[in-house]
Amino acid sequence: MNHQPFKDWLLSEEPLEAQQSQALQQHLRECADCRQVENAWADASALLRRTPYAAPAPGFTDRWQQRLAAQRVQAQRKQAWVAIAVTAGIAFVLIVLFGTHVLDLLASPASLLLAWIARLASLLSVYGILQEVFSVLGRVPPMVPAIALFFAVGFVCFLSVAWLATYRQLTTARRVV
Amino acid sequence: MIQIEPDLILQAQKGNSEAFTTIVEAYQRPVFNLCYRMLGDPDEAEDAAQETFLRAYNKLRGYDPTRAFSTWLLSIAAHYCIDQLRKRRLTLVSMDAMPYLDPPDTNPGPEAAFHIKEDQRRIQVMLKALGPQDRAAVVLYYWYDFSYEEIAQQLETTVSAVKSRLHRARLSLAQTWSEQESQRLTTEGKRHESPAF
Repeated sequence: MNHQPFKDWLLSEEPLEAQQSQALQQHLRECADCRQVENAWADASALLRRTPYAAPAPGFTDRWQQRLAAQRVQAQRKQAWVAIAVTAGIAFVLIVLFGTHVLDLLASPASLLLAWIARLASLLSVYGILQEVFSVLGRVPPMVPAIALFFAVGFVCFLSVAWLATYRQLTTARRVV
Repeated sequence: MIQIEPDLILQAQKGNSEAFTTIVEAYQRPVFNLCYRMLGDPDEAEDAAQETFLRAYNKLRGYDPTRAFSTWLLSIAAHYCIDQLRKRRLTLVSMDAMPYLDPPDTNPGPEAAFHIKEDQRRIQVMLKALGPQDRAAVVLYYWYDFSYEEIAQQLETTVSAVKSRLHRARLSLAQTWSEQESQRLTTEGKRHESPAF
């Protein structure tokens, strides 16, 4: 005997047609195996339906807040380690680049001395040019009014303070509520 | 299923941690119950429920308000539990450990307490016989009254696959129930037998 359609109907929670229902009842009267499945499923589904929600132990929300705080600390530590690693990497690259340059110069101290003298001379000439430029600017009438310069300097100061505040906000650990 | 104010979710999305704490308070039982029915152990369920809320908190900006919040949250829990079940495989779980029950019976008598414990044990044995995906389908269908479409959406599968999973799961549950009944009858029979002299 083919039990499959009857077992399908037994375990289906969708309503059966009258003919199907009649055929199922007829089969159940004759088949002990399907009757056992029917009884077992009736008991099992009743247990599923009457079993209430399981609830966590009291203080679940407090424990969750502690876990969130721990996760934030861990994330900040990770961020700090990444920053340290990036800084160390940049420092290493600079040391390597600068180190090779220094080694080249140490190989011939005379050329090192000449290079420094040349740099000093260039700095002095830049200073001389700037002095000349400012003396010329001082003699001509001001093209930009003093008030505009005042506002420009104030705006730059404001931007600096805003940058510092944002930096502090982003790098300081937040208090968990 | 509990429904919370959309405004509360909006506030939580804007970074208000107090609003999210209210959400945790409201959904702790449904989430814990899902984890407990899936994993079968209160400690693991606690851990999974906590992790579910952490993941929800971190993904909250990506939550689509057109979808029910409870469905979204339970989907995170179900996927996490399925992953845990796949990872653990051979880990044994104690069936004696019991969670609190909702609504908690404040003072059950010894017989009622025994029956509650026995029901819980039988449920967990029955669920343990199912694969992770089938177990998730059964839990969502019988505890949360989810439709086939909702379960299909949660488990990222088709409606016909969900129906097939549930059919297979019901047969397995009925078989496990029958086995437990036979064992119980055998044990009771032995207990009532006269001692041999």
